[in-house]
Amino acid sequence: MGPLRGTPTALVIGAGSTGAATAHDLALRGVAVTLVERGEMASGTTGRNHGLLHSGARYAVKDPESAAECIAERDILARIATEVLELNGGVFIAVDEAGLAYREPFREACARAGIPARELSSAEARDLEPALSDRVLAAYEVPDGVFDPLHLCLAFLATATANGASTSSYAEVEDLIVRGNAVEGAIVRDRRTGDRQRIEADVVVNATGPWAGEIAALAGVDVPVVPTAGVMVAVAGRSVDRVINRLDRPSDGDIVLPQRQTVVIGTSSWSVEDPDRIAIPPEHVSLMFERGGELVPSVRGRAPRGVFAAARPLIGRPGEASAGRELSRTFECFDHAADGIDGFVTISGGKTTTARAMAEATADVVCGKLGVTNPCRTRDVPLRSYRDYFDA
Amino acid sequence: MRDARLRLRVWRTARPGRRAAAFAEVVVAVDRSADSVLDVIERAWADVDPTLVFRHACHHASCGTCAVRVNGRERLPCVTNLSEVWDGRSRLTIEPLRNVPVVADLAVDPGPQLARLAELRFPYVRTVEADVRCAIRPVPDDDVGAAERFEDCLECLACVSACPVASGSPEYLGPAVLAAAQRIVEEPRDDDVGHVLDLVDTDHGVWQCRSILACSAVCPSGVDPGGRIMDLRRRLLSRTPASAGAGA
Amino acid sequence: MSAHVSTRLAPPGLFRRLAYWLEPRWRDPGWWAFALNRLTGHILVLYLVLHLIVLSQLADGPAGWDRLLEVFGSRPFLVADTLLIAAVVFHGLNGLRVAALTFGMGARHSTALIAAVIAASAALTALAAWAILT
Repeated sequence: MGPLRGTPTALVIGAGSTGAATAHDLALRGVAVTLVERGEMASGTTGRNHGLLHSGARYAVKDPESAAECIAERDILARIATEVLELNGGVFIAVDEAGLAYREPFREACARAGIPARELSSAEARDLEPALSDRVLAAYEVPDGVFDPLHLCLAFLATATANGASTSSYAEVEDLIVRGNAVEGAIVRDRRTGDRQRIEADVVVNATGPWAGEIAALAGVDVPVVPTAGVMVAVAGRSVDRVINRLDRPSDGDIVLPQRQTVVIGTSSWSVEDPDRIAIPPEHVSLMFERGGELVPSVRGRAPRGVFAAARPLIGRPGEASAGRELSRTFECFDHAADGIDGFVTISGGKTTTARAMAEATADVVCGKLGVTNPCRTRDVPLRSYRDYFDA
Repeated sequence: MRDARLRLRVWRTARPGRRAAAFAEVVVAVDRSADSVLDVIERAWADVDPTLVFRHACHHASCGTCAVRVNGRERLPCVTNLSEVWDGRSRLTIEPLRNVPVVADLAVDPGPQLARLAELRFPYVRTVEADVRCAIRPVPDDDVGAAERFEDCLECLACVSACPVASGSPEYLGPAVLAAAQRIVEEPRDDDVGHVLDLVDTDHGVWQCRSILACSAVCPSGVDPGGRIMDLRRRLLSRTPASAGAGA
Repeated sequence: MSAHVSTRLAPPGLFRRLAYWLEPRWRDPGWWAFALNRLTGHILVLYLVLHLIVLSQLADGPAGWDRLLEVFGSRPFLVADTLLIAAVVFHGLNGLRVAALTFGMGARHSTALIAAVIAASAALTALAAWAILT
């Protein structure tokens, strides 16, 4: 079923949180959206992410721009996507001198960014979460939360399809259709049957996360995305109900949070060549147990239920630090008209907490190119149930 | 180190013009102690045959998408260590779930089951219970209701696949739906419990269960659908005509 | 309208679904107990029908009846009787276990109870065999 003649069309490649939220935003603005994803929805980086709905406190000191984005988006998601969120809050606990020293900068930075951070006594913190370390020297409560990445994506997708978007999983982009200096669509292979299909669109949006470079190369453009992997370790037993953060500069293994009947310790950082072939260094796994155990001692000595990794799409630029935490976790939308290629946009970087904002920025760019003037409505439109996605 | 070689026997559905549905055998380099079964499936896709279609998302038993049958038994491959199911020598067989429509290869469509759950209005988030069986640490009485969490049920459909009654009868509501119904009745929140009890009080509802308990045996999340179906039966039996009619 | 599944494959037919019953790979003990309960149930129904047919031979008078009884007293039939008792005993004891399950008892010890049912059935059958065959 094609769009009405004259309706602007967009093809979104990738159904992680970015692609899903972008399809949702564009559909609300009246664009005829087609979304293709080569695997199951959210089977890339988004599916494997920690599931932390950031209050932004983690970034307040080092990256205040990111922190402000987070708290704003956290509040929006809490309004539009209640079904797929656990809003139990989080705590930051200092377990050593460095943590204690971090208190002042942390408190000031959170206040500046508008992130409510309530100071707790050690006793109060351990009352809230009995599984915390004995050695809680200082604590703050913040409005963190936990989400289920797959179901959050499906909620965006369910809403998008209800508003006319056409979405397909197991649909892999084999090539982009490039005519002259414009991208006009893509050749997509249906992996269920092997059939190829030509999908034409006025604008193609590359929302493939760490694979963004591979897709962009099909149009002959470069995007400065550095796939940066991180390990997560899930152990059986729901020892905590809140997100437990280490009060200190962001580093490895400083977050422990509950996911159903497990707790997941994360994460670390190393750059990888191929997001589809990530070898997990065993020392990173031991580091998760060691560092996670400093926050929630009962994770030590438990066999892991799952050890997994995915590549974050960090944005790097020549001259900037080329790896790990130094790269900004904010997002960026690249309109490749600047590279001489029309009809092609890449959105990368960011985190799931800010997916809606990323989608808004992307949809603004796309609509600018399409001449669509409808404003963004995603701040206020509640998402449908993820189950609606599957109504056949 | 991926220094062992695993003969993986994986179910491939028909592709038009290419092959009929059958098992295909591929050899994959694996690390028996470190790899999960999902890692093995991914290696088969990435290194041997990129046409293999399979579902996965979270890799830690939270999203429920990767459920398959490993050597005939329903499991979540993401949290099944290879050493649990492979002796280092034999073939490892992986097939899609039973009793659920197959999309391609190992990927199934949870749509029909989810539609039933949607009809029940089964909420995704519950409140923490004081019951130690469900919470890892005892929750003080005044904290009951203080925390929310996602339901234990991942909607992975392993239970539906394991249920022989579901094999023979697609109209059977099935263990996942019945367990969800019991959760609504057990923790009503704003839901209309009478409506839910009416939905399951049918020939294709709780009364079609044959107490086999394969569902509870394969559930990766400790939901115990079998036990919950029995609980529903007890509740239905103790409904008087007056209380049933009231529909509260 | 979502195009997320437009090539859903046909559901397995009756033959394939029946074939699931014969799969020899992993099965929970609860499944085996159920299958055996079904099987013994069918056997008992069949036996009941045969029993009625046999009894109807009474109408032919004592001579024919006595001949039948001689056949039924022969070794192969006595063995069949023992097997029949095994079926009755298992079906009954397992039936008690299933009834208990319906009232919420025994779910956690399902495997142990099945083992107990099998053990008790074997013991009672052995007793019956001793009584019938010796």
